[in-house]
Amino acid sequence: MSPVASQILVVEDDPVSRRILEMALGRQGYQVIAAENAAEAQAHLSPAKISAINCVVTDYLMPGINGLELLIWIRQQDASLATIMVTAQNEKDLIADSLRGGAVDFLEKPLDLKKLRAAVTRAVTQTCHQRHLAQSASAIRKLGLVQQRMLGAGNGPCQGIPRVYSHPVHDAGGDHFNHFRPTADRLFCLLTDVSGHDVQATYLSAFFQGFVRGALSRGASLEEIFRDFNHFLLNNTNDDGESLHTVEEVAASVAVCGLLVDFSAGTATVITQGAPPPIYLPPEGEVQVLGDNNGVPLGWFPELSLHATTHPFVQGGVFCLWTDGLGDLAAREGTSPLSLAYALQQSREPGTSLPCLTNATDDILLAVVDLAGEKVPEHDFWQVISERYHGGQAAEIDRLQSYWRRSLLLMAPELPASRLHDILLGSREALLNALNHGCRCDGRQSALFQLDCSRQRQLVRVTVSDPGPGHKFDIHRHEQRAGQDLPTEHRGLILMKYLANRLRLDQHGTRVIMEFEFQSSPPSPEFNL
Amino acid sequence: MNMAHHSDAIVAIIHAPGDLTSTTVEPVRLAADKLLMPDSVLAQGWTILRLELTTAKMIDSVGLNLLVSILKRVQKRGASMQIVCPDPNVKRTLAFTRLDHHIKLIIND
Repeated sequence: MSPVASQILVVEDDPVSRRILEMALGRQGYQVIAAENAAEAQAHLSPAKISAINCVVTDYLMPGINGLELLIWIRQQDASLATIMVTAQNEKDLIADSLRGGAVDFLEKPLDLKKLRAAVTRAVTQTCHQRHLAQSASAIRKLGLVQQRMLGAGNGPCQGIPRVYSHPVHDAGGDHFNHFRPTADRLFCLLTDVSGHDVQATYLSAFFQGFVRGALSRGASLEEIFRDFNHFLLNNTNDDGESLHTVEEVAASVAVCGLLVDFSAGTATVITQGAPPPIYLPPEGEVQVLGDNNGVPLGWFPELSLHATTHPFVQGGVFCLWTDGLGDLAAREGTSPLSLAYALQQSREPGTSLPCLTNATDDILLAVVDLAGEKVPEHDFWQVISERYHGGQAAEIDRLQSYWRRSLLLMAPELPASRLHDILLGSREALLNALNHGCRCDGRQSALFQLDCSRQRQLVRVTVSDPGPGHKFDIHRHEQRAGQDLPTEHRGLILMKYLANRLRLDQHGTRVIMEFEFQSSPPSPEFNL
Repeated sequence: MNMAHHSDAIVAIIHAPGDLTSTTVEPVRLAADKLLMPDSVLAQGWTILRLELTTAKMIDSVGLNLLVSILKRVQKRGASMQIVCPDPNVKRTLAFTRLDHHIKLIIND
């Protein structure tokens, strides 16, 4: 920074000292503005003028407002403007107060002009640096706002139009999402996650999105585009232009998930490279993970193993795409990713918040494609959990129960404690029965555990399916006997019946479906156990 | 586990450390065995067995089965059984399985 371009405001009530300061700094090439008291200085530091001043040198002891009070006032106007306090000798308390008040330096009278010039040079440099940082931060905030708008956060719900929920760690992030229709009956969604949470990541992510869109519109296949961009990253993102061969040398990489929904064919084609594979939530049945996550991010290795997979879907389902930040936060919070995905959607509703987002250490982006065109947060049922547990996992039931509890409360915090107890106990009974009897404790067999919740209907539905032969006994007759003889078998099944508002046993009891209303407990049983 | 003398009865007391579920029943089962084994020193004298579930928030079917098993053995020796259960969900589970018809429930002790 050339001193010629810098303005210094000198505040000193003693005319001789003020003149000495003016001359000393003027000789150094600064433009010096002199004020004989704080009030006059404040006039020079009005909002219209303050950005032109690069340093303030103020005496402490002045009539009216003293130097420390002026210093505090300056900090409130422009915290980036460096101020030097001039004090009498040996005023250690005052020096300490000045530094606490935000002074960058202090000088003792009589002034040593050499020290004065050095202190002013440092102060001017600091002001310029602080202002540059503030401008950069402001620019990044604006960039973040542009990014949010580009993510289509304002899209209304209708068939195939994704709703996007973004929570970057900083003002702008490397997670991005784009969607467009190559033809009237097809929807293409592209989710990207560039390594890092900085402006470079934001820029590269947006660049990649444009790259893909342009190439697709020219008829290139997704495989060709990914290979081209992989090549581009390997050859252009390091300083010397040489290929990058190890993870340590990778300057930038792009994790990506491409989803092509063909409404006419009822199929979804997926390519995933380093990003979590998309999830399909059908209206009924098991949640499906589409494809795999074996692919590596673009920019890591010269050879890419690209593998597109095609999956059928039915109308009324939902596709979810998310970046790894969502899965990481869910793991940290001990909840299912699906419950976090639901809560993230809800957090955009007025008057709601999601406190756990403050624990996020990575950018989070969620895109929800609702095939029915309904408003997703009010989707009939949302699958909180859809997981398979193997026959050897009965000993883990307490951990699973805690996981279900946290996931349910994240999605439906209004659930009364007594109903939460009933849901968890009913789920515990159903799963233990499935693992111990349906799977015969065999680690090679698995039971499907599904926990769906509809806040609109105020209903939780638990479905547990196992591969076993089921049972043939009559639950009603068993209830009668249980009341008289106090037997110890099948008590779990009877327990489930009275915990749930409705219990259905399908396929000889190998599929148990329980429904729990949020507010009303089931009536007391008529039979003794 | 300890013994307490009430006006005209000796009460054997078992303290459950928490929930009474498939993963937590063992300490209670072992304590009950010590009180109910015919050749046990602790089996002598008492006429009431009190199970304290003061910190329990949940009883599952394995826990209920244990209670039924203990109850049958208590009844066989001509004694009676009490459960201290301040948690409303635990009380509700015992009530709707009708174990409260066979066991005296003490809500506040």
